[in-house]
Amino acid sequence: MIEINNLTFTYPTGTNALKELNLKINDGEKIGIIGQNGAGKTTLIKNLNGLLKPTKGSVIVNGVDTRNVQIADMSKTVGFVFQNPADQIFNPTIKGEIEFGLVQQGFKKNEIKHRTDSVLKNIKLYEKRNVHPSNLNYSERKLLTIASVLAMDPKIIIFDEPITGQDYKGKIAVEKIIHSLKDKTVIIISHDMEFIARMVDRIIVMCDGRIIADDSKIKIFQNNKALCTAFVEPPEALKISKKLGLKPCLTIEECIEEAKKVFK
Amino acid sequence: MLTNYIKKDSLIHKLNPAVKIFLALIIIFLSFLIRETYKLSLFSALSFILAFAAKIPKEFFKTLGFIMTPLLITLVIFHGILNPAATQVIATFYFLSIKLDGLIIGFNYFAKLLSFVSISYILIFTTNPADLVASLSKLGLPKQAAFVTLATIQFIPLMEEKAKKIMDAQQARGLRIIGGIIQRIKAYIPLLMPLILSMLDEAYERSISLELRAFFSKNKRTFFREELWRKTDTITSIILAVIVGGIIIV
Amino acid sequence: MITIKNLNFKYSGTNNYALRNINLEIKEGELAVIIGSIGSGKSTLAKCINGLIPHFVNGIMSGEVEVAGIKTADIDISDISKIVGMVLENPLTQLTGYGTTVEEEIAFGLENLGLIREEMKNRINSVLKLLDIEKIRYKDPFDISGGQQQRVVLASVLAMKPKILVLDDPTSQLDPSGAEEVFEELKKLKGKQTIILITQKMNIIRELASRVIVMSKGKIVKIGKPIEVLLDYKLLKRNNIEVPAETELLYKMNYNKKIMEMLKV
Repeated sequence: MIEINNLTFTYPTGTNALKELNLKINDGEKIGIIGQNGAGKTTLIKNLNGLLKPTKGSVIVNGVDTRNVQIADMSKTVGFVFQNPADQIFNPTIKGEIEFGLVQQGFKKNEIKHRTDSVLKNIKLYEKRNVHPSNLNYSERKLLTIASVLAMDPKIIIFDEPITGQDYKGKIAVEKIIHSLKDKTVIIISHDMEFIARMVDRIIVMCDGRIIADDSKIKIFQNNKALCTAFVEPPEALKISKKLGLKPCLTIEECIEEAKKVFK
Repeated sequence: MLTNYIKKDSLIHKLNPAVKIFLALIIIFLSFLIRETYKLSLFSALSFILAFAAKIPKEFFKTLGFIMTPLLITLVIFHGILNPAATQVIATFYFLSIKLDGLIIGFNYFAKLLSFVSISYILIFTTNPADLVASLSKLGLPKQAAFVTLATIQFIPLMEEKAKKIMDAQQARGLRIIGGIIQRIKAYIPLLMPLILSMLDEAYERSISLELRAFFSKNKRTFFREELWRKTDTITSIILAVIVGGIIIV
Repeated sequence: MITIKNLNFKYSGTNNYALRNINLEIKEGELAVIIGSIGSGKSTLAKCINGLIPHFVNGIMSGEVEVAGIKTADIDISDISKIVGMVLENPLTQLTGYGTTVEEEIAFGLENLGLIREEMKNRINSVLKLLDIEKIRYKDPFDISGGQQQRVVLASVLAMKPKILVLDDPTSQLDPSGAEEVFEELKKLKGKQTIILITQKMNIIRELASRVIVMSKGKIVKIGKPIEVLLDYKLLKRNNIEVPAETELLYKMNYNKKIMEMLKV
């Protein structure tokens, strides 16, 4: 469980990025955080794994106050997939890249091998395990960074814009992996509302350092006031279901099902 | 902002960049030539006064302190203990002996560096990069070189930003950077590779951008910013020349 | 305005051709949109139009690319940049950091062209007005939002008065409101400027494009009106391109007439 109490964060440059946030996230929830650039989304998630420490207030993750722990120790509980794979990948082999985090965590040799192999098979890069990461395309590199985080098996996983810059195939691959994280707490920042609608149940809308709405996805996407303030558009499927007079649908698959009932 | 230029409204900022460039070049040249530590310190003092005149004392001393303090310690200790020409032992520490004349030599090197670095920072902090490039070009430096100078000045803050991002990413994977010296050194490897690669990538992209803005075209370049040589520039140049001359002769 | 004949290109150090037998003609004033999955050759094609290929990028090129009547292989990139302007994905590597204001950033390219100060001022004033960025004229280009940064890059390129403007995925690094800002500017330019836009944002294509060019594995697989291409479910699926939500619905509902009416297709 994550408990955020009156969290305020100010950058050394003076920017007040988070203003007295209060938030509770339960185990296993799937949450999307949306809002304009500069709303504070990235600042918020960096406070969840200790990369940033609160200026005021507190963040308590599974009973541990982030102010009292080193970032490296938080990484056992909170996995963080950064937006740019180039900021993370440094090992000469894909296998080595995944093993890195496990070695840092102090896992034993056979445990490391077992986890690395299983996660490589999961993202379908097992055959390429001794290949240099520069031979991978962007999507594969993204999958690699996700895999490195998953190998550490954290309870909470945060994704910062996981599908930006990806094409259709890449998006699907990422969706598949996130879908397989059934018992984990998943937090996703994205600008793609279709993607968010498929991945999460609960959405937090941020604007100007504050949470302006926090509700189930269907309620949020129909909350025009919040969406407007945050400069966010609802998913296409919702607009389409409205135009056709169907019940509100967040994904195109739902839309098609409903349409089949109405239009014979 | 990319460069280290600090925008303020001061006499020094308003000075024609050529004055500052010449001052910097002369002092840098003299820093290598002159041996007397007190003269070198006077050059540094001149830079310190200019920092106040330019209304940037806080930023100036903070940056200077950050860069020069480790250098001071390294140089003084290095020469104090290891310089083979030094003989006047004043203290012993296990098998290491600290020699007075060694310390003095170390401090002399430090004074040279301080004088050189101080005036360079005055130039960088008070001159708009566009003006710097324009002046260097007008003074005859080929524009590629002028731009490379600019790129180098921009490089450091860029690298700092990138390094921070990479450090965050690796720490989030369990990399420990707090700890013993060996731990800290080991920690640098996962930082260097992505840093170097991304700096190379960015440099590549930037050079494409320059191409696309016709930077490498063979025709003569013109300048958007007006650059005037004013009376204040002449007066300031004379004053500075007198001061520098005075320091040499003293 | 642009004529491409039998263009083939292979990056050095690779085995496959990135562009295969490309034949294309773009008329003056058109806004052509190129879509395709990663690796389809769209960016490579863009680089052939502005001369980065063959002058900057290493590889084997055959065939001809002509812009405004001049073959790109015959002149320098600096000269091509007066005819073809290009805006890329990442605003941060396109802002030169020259000077400390938006105005100076725009002036950079003009200084390289050797224009007199009066002319520079005129051009800067007119692009600032055109792109609605007069209010950030004196701001630091690194201190403004992503959408504003891309508009500054666009302004810097347009100030050089290129006959052709190429944009390679100019909004993928921006948030939706930033992307909106850029697309608004392109709407203003439509018809007045020959534009080639590479984008993944399907909803914009309908509004902007006069023609859509679909690429896959280095070849052009279809050129058609936006409506034709965007509603062609099989074409998009076959070439690994994201199918717009509407198209998916219409296909699965057999292009039901009533639905098409209600969606105003």
